[in-house]
Amino acid sequence: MPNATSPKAPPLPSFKADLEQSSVSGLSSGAFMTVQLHLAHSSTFVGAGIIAGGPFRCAESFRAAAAIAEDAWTMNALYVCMNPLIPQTAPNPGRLAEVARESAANGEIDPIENIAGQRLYIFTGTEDSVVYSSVVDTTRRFYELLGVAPERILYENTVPAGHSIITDNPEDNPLPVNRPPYINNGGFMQSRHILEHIYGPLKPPAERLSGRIIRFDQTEFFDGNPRASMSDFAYAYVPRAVEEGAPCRVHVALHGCKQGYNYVNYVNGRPDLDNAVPYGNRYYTTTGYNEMADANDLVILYPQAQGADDSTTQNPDGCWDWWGYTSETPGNPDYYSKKAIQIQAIYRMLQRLGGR
Amino acid sequence: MFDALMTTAADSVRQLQELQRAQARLLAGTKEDSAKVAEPGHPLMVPLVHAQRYQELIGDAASRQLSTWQALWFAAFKPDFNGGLQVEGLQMLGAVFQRLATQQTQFLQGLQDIASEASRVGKANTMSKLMEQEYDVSARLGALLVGQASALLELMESVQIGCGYILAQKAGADGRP
Repeated sequence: MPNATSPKAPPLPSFKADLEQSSVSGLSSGAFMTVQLHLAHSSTFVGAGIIAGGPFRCAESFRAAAAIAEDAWTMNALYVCMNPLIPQTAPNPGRLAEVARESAANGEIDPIENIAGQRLYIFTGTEDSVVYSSVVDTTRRFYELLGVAPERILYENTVPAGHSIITDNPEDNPLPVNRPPYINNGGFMQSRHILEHIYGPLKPPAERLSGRIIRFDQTEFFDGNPRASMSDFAYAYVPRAVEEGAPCRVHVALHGCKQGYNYVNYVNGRPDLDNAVPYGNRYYTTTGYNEMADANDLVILYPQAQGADDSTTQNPDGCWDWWGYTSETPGNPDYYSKKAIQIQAIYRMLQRLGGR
Repeated sequence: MFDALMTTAADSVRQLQELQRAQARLLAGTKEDSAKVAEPGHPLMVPLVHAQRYQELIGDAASRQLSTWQALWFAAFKPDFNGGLQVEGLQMLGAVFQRLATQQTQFLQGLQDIASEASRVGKANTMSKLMEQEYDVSARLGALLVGQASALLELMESVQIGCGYILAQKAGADGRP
């Protein structure tokens, strides 16, 4: 929930970022958003990391699911894109690859040709009961159909993990569970695997951070429009060398549902403001991205989504929009395109980091 | 004969959807009018809005069933239609039974947990704490029942969407973006 009494944070500063070397990764709704952002601005990215996410525009697979378009997209999201009964009711990667090409031809996203030379890390845990492995299989196939060579895709589907980003922090959840904060201990830092697959060999993570996490005012990037379902503040990790003027690259790390800094649980349909969840800062502090960034002159950008559950927005878990809840015209949604309010906001943040 | 029945069913679906849209428009108009005498979101409007939403969702469920049968009928006449549908049908059935079994196990486990907790309610030094403890047990039971009912409704919707989606793909009419 927005905190109306908070003073504004400073604006996001600029650095010497080479934006053509940017990359993006995310978990769950952050992974679905990663696919959308990646395709929408593929000329900006060199690769992406997708942990438990489905393919582009899968929420529009079956329009006949309900008479009202936004109901149909929600049902598609739940029953086709997250936990289909059988693999045949999962998204159809061939059809969605065609849809992606049509979207590019219409100028809604960057040309598909940009994707072929990029590198993809795609992960599904064998114990994931939130986004089934049969869905993530289709994400891999989707990228192959867009021209990405199989050797450029690192597809990991054998780890007995629940729905989570994996860390080696002893205080995180056991590996096979499916529960918030969806950060599970599997004995390795998944963020390192993602970054090393995208960028090639990197220096090992810093044992002690030299830089700092900056909090910035996120509202300027979506003009404070509540339709965006984005928080007042967002975060970025900036290594000291980068702050002192060294050239850098940017990686966008997108949290999943219930993982934003100001996530509030809904109890009996009401936000439980008296009992704020205690893990809101974990995704941008303990998932291992910052240690890799520090050693390799990367800026990690952590945009933040927030929950809303009212007559206009049904997003109580603070998920990124991958089924159209931010669209002004649900019958003809734009959540996947360069015009989408969340994608526009994140892209503007990237531009700022690059001094544009 | 069956073809005529399917056409009638398709007409019914269309009429149902048109009726829903008309009701939505009517309600929107009513809201505008009522704004003159009552604030938007006035409590008097809430039951009406809820009733309309309930009707919409029930109508959606009915129209999905009809659409599924319609798609099955048309798919049967596709030249490349084959027995694969039977296999998928059996797989769906297996998946449904598996989920029902999981739900049942979780429900029984939940009941056992509540019974176990109720039998060893902690010490209460005050009347207010005792009352809270008594309420907590019934609240947990209520939450368990609601969760079970929601899971069953989700499964029902999932089956409807799954069947309709498979058939629509086979009939080549999935209404994709």
